[in-house]
Amino acid sequence: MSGRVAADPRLIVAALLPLTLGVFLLAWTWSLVDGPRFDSVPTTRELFSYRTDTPVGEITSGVAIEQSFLATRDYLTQVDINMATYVRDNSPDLVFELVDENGVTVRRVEVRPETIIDNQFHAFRFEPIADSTGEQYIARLTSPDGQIGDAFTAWAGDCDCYPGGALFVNGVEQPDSELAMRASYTRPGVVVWRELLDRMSQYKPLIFKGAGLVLVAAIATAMSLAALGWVAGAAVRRSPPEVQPRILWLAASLIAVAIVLLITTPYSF
Amino acid sequence: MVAAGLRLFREDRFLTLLIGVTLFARVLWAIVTPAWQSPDEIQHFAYVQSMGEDLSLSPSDYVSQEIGTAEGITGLGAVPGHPDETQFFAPNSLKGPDEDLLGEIPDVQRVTDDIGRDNTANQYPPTYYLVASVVYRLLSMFNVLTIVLGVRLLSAVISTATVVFGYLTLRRFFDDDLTARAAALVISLLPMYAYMGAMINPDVLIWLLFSILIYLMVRALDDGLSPEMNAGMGAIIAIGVLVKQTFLVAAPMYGVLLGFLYLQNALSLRRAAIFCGIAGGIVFFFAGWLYLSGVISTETAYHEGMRESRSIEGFLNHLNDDWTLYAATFDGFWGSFGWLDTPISIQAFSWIRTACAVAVVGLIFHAAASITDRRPDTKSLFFVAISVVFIAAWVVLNYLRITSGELWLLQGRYFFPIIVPIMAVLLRGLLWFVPHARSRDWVMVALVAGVIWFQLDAMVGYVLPRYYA
Repeated sequence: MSGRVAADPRLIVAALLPLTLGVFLLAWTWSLVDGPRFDSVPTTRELFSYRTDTPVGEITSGVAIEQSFLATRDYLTQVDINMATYVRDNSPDLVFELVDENGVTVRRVEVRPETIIDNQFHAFRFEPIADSTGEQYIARLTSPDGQIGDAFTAWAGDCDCYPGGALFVNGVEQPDSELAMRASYTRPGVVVWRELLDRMSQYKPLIFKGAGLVLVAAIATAMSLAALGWVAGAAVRRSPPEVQPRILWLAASLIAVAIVLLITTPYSF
Repeated sequence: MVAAGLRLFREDRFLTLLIGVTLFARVLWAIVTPAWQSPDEIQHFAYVQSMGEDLSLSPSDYVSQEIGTAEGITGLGAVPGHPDETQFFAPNSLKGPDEDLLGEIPDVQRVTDDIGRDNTANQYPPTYYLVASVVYRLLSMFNVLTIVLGVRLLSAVISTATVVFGYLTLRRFFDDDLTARAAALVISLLPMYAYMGAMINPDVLIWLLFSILIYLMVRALDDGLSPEMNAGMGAIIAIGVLVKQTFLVAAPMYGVLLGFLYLQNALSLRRAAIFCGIAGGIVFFFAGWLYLSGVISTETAYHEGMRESRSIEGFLNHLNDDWTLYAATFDGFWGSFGWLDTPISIQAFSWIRTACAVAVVGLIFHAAASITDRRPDTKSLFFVAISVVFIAAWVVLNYLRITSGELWLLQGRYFFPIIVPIMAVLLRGLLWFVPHARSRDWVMVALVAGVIWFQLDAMVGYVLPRYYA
């Protein structure tokens, strides 16, 4: 008689279930954090000028407000400009364009008028530019339907606050004047995770910062999966022996589903 | 009682795992949710702070200047109601901008009025806040956000105890360990329930008391109502109304229990009247005089802004006019986070709504079948009855408020005190469609897996982007 105790295949199934779900949850979480909902996690924000001394004038049809700037990092994804409405409800759309050194428009964002708040930075978000480091860009604001009395404006500071760029109105450089503007850069994948963890740690007690927070999340997830395994184990043990092959098929199909989910995207709601 | 508790843990080792799952899920919610971003949390914390500072049972009528200063330092004051706003962030750092300044806020600001901000929570009785103020005192040497998290962890512990009593109830309801355990996990990990169970709010204590009360009620249905148990229920109702006025709804639920026991021939009318008198006396002795004397008040009186007259017809018209709002409110039971501006996915709502509809149909068939078989499922009928009483009471209160010129009161989370009866009967209805006992096991396993995913999706897919992206 052998002294070895044969492993019950049904219990292996019970263990596989939480493991499979764990892999799936990891993939799901990764897809969410790597997806559009976290696009606006700018890991670095660069302020060019904050001063709001003078509005640049109404952005009506035919008027172009341009501010040149130098991108200092990769993955430029957002430009914020301090806008003003003249304390009224303006109706025309605003168009933001990002133009490269060759005069090519590389990004274009149309903004609905109701989203622009008086005297607030408006975030013009766009698809990140992977290799933006060292590139000179022009941020251009136009409003094809803007009319006098029904148009937005942007704030400028009466200073040469940003040596890396200049303000232009209809192509004419405005000396000692800069738009109140800042740029944001994002970073892909694992770095976004890191930044997210940093943000969640901020203003929290020391023990729940960084590794502490990760530990709590890991324990919470592990315990949930262990509980699932417990329930699945009980279900498996109560299953009559003759359905064993089906249970093995079930386990195999679960693994197959997890693999399919891992290699296909997207699967977020 | 301690020996019985220890025996329970020895006999049912799953209980330890359930406590771990429940507690850590809530601790995680407590950490990831920025301070004061749950409904009225700032008011409830101000109440706790007031009691912790003054050592008085009468709360101040203001929000402290320290809270306003901390909101200014962190940027959290702009977050509620403004979906595009977040707290301030510092890149590549575990410390927020000016985080050290939180520890330098002068102590005097803890007892100074933040001009123009009233504490609307001070209408509530002090019991929960008294308990929470002990944690406040213990942590008072730390900065205000650390104290907030500490008080939240107290909520996490209280709501973990709530889930334990819920599990004990479910064991008696389902007569099957696997189903009860899976049902308890589904309740424990339901994201909105876990989230609210980790916030500063007297509701967490209300849930615990309801959970104990419902457990005692189910025991009474099984074993008969003993005088001790009856006195215990009276004491729980008395404590409950000292936590929040709305606990009074437990009184008609207790009446439903007596009715069921009478119909089961487990209680004579005379004995029911005596029990009712004793329980009522206990409630009056411990709590009633506080209300009658005006120390604690609650009112649904008419105000100048009254919009319509109160009447049966008006009530029915109200239901007819606003049933879509009620439907949306019931949806909110499953998930509506933060300052109620961050719901979970619409698709998830649709799935849950469909599953609920299926479950209700199954429950009706189950009840009908059990009655025609002359083996009525008493506990299901009892849970339906107390759920109807509870929800109806809130609907009537909502109507009274609206006709008093107030805004819509009802929110889905207000039904959390009866989450165990609600989930138990819904699961009973859902499982009616699954004829084989073993298949039911796997349905429950799938539900547990589903709720684990649901919680993760709610947190990472919706709540984290709201506050940190």
